[in-house]
Amino acid sequence: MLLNLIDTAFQKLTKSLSESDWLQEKRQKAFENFQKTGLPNRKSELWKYTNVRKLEQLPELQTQFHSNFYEITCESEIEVYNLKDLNSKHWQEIQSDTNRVFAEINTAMLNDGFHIVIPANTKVKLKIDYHQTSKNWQNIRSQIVVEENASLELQENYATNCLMNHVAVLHVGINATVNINSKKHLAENSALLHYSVINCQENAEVKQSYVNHNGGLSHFIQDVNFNGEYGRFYSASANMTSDSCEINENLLVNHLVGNSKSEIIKRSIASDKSQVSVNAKAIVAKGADGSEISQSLKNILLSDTANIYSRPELEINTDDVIAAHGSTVGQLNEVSLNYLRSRGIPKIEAQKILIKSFLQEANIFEAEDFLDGIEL
Amino acid sequence: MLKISNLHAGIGDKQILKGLNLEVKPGEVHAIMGPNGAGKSTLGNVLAGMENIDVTDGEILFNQKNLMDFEIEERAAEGVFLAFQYPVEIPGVNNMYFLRAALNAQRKYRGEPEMNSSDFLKLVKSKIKQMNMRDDLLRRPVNVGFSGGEKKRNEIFQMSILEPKLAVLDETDSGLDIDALKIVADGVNQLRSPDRAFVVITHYQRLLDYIVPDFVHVLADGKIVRTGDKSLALELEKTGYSWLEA
Repeated sequence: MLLNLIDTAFQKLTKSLSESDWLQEKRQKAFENFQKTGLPNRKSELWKYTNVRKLEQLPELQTQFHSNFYEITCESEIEVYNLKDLNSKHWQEIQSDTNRVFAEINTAMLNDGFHIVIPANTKVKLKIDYHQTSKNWQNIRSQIVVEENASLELQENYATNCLMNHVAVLHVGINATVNINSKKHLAENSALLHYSVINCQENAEVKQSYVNHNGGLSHFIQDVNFNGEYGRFYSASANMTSDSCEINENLLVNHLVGNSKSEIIKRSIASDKSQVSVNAKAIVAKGADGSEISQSLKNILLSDTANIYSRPELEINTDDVIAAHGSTVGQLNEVSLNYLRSRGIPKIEAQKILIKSFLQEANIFEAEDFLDGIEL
Repeated sequence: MLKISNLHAGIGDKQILKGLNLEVKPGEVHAIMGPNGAGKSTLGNVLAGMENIDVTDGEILFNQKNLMDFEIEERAAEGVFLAFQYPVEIPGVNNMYFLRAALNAQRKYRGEPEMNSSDFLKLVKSKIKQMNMRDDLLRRPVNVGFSGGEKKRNEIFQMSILEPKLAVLDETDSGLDIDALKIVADGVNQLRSPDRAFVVITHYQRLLDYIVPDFVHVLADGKIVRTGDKSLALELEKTGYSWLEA
């Protein structure tokens, strides 16, 4: 059914658009790739724990090109291009397979997008708000190129009711640094399919802090590629779900060259009938000696009916590597809870303190919305 | 203040306390000694209301109220304080925040107004000096990275802020060197008052050199089998507990 829906929407969209030939070709090629690959299912590794039936319930796709799905705020002068006006050489190619097939749908059905260049040797603060301006499913693509020695501080916010298939590509140049703070406080009727790719050049550093709160269906895939030596990637994220919400977070770090470092901290909490699945994988290529990897996945179940799937994974194809990974799933620590209560703090308050404390391990200090929405 | 009658308690199928009786009056210090596994810590945990222990029989009256009717936090607000044998680390929650939350929760329970942050700061600064503790411990997460001695001192510091009516010290001396032991004992002695009582659970007589008890009880196989004055502790130091088997 969804296949037919996409097919119909694609025909409608391509008829109505007047855009450059290269973009039309991209759309056509992506649509053909999607038709060959098909939709992901439970056998697809990164969709194993996703309720793919929810995809069938997605609304109709947006079939027009708009320029109001995002708002960029920046005090500095930077180059921002709408994808419609972009030159083909700026298009950032990305990997595609069954797991990432929504990236093909995104290209085929692209409704809006931008390309930003942060010039070399500059420091830029950027805020991007993603809006939901229709009842339809929106396909958005963002491309950010941070040039050599540049520094970017990026704040991202998503509309609570977003119905979005978002592809984000970030290129981090030599010696460049990027700090990303991304907030997704989503409603139960929202759906966010998000695929991001980060390419790190030599001595590039990316620090990201993600808050993923609820969402009817939130599915994230992130691929990080170390293309130059001495790259560093630090990721701290918190997933918080309640009601029947669902978050699936998949991170793949490719240590393609040596002396790169990745440090992943993920903290997830699920209550009610909600579900979180977290997958962090690092692949160290042959010869990528001196790579350092750390993956810490901790999860708390607040109810008997919530589900959490947690998997840290290492694939190491070389000898000289420092790697550590760990995953735990449990309840709030009873001894800690009793300790707080024994000082006079009521049980519910004590539980809230422990939840905040748990999230702070990932430097996440925003638990209030989640705590307000759950019954302890 | 505290009257325990025929207390039976255990964990799962294992009965640990088997008919314990104890009466503590305001201002008194009672030392509980005894061999390993006698039920000393279980007694402390029962008084604090720990839910993993099942009380199967008996009665605990605290200021004429049945303590068993109260939840853990309510007992704390009623004035029962347990200094843990193994204080718990709470990452991400600093001592100041934790203590103020605890104090104000207790005040709220008792119908008293909350203490504002400036008054609270004055209070903790004066108390921390008395405890000979460093100021920076206040800003650090609860017990995280604390040495064994610092954790025990922190327990006594919390007690000094919360000012309970009955303080149960569960092997507060374990793992302390002589200097830390003196500091902890000084902290306890400063809090001694005619309306506050202490139950000091310990294995060693040396703590009682510094916190002089009014009564020493020997707890064995879930019951108090002997009671005496501080000289009993000295005697136990010499004879051990082999006489219990006779």
